[in-house]
Amino acid sequence: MKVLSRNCSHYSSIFVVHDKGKAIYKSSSSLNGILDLENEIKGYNWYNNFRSNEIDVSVELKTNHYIKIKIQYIDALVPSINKGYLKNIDYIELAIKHYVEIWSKLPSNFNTQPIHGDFSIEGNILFKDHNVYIIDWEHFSEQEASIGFDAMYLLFETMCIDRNCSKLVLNHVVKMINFLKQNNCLDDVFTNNPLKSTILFMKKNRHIWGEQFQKMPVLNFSKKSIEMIDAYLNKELSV
Amino acid sequence: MKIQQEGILELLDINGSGQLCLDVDSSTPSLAIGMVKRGVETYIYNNDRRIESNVRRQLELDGVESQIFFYQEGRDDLKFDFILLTQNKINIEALLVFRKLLNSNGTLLLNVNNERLKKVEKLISILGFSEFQIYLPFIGKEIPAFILPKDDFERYYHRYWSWKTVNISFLINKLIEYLFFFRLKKTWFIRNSIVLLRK
Repeated sequence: MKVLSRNCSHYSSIFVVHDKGKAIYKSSSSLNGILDLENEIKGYNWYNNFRSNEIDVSVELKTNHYIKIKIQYIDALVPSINKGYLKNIDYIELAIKHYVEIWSKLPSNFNTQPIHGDFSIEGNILFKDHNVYIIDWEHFSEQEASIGFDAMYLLFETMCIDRNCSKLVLNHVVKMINFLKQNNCLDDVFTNNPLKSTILFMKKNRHIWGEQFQKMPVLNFSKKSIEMIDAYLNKELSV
Repeated sequence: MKIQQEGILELLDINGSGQLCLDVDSSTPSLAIGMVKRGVETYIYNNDRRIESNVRRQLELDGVESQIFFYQEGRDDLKFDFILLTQNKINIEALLVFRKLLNSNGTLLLNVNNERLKKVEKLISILGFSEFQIYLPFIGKEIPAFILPKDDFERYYHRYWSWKTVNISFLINKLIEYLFFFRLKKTWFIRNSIVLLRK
C-alpha cells in the first residue's frame, strides 16, 4: 500500500512515495526536480562503488518532463534528531565512522572531493545492526568541497537542532574532528573556525542546494553562537 | 503549489502509457498537465472547451508538446486505464457512468471534498468495485504535506505528534488530537480525501 510521504516538502519539487516494505519511489515533473533526481542516481552509483552490499536504484519511468526512480527499501532505524545531540551520540559516531570508511578510499591527490550535501541523521542516514546506509543523494556533487564538509555539517546540524552548545556537546565535536583528522578525512580549512568555515562553504556554493538552501538548519546559528562555538573549538583543537 | 497538486497522481500505478479520462474544472488543469508529463494519453471530459484551451496553454508554457484530447460522449470504443474525478459531494450517478468507461483493471481516482468519511465508505461500498482504498491528507490547508491510507493515519499521527516534554504546546496538541480522532470517528467532514477504486 502506497503512502505519499513527501509532497514537494522543504521547497523541493520531489514527490516521495513509500510502498511499504517493498520500495521507495521518488519522482518529479519539474526541471529542477528532474535534475535533482538524476543527481541522486549519480550519488547512489558513486556511493555503491565503495559499498560491499549495494543499494539498488533504478529509473522506473522517464519522459521528457518527468522522472520516477525506484530505491531499494531498507528496513533500518532512523534516529530522531529531536532527541538531541547527546542522546544520538552513538549514531553520530557510527555515521562519522562510516564517513571515514567511504571518503578515506578516495584518492587524496584532489583538492576537492564529492559531497553528499545533506549528511544528516534526520532521515538521511539509516542504521541497522552497526551497518550504516546513506540515502537521499539529491544534493550530491562531485569535486565540490574540501574533504570533511559533510561530517562537519552533520555535527553542526545536530547541535543546531538541539540548541545545545554545552561543553559536553562541544567536547564531543572536538573528539569527532580529531578522529576525522587522524584518518585524513578533514581538510585544514575546517580546523580553524570550523563552524564559520562550514557555513561559508555553503554560502559560496548555494547552487548545490538550489531553493532548498534556505531550509538548511546550520544557517540558523546566530553570529554570536558561531563566534562562541568556534572560539571554544579553536582553543581545544590547538591543544 | 501547482506541482504539489500533482502529488495525488503518485498514488496511481503509472508506467508511461495508458489512457486517462479526466473530469476537470478550471481549478485543476494541473492534474491533466501532470498526467501528460507522465506519458499518459489524456482525454478531458468536460463540456467547457475553455478548460481544454486552458490546459493546452499551460502545457505550452511548461514546454510540454503533447496531444490533449476532448472526450465526446457516446465514444463507446474508448476505455480508460485511469479516470480522475474531482467531486465535492459524491455523485453516484456520475460514478456509475465513469465506471463503465474504465478498462477491466482500470483505476478510478476520486477526490472528495467536504463529505463525511462514514458516508464516503458507505457509498463506495455499493458501487461494485473489486477493491477500494481511502487516503487522507495530512497537514496543509489546500495542499497536503503527505497522504496516508486511512488505516495508517492514526499510527503516523502518533509518530508525528510525539513530543518529548509536556507543556502548553503538548496540551494544545492534545486538543488537536481530539479533533483528529473525532474526525477518525467518521463524523468529521473530510477535506481533499482521495479514494482509489479498482474495477
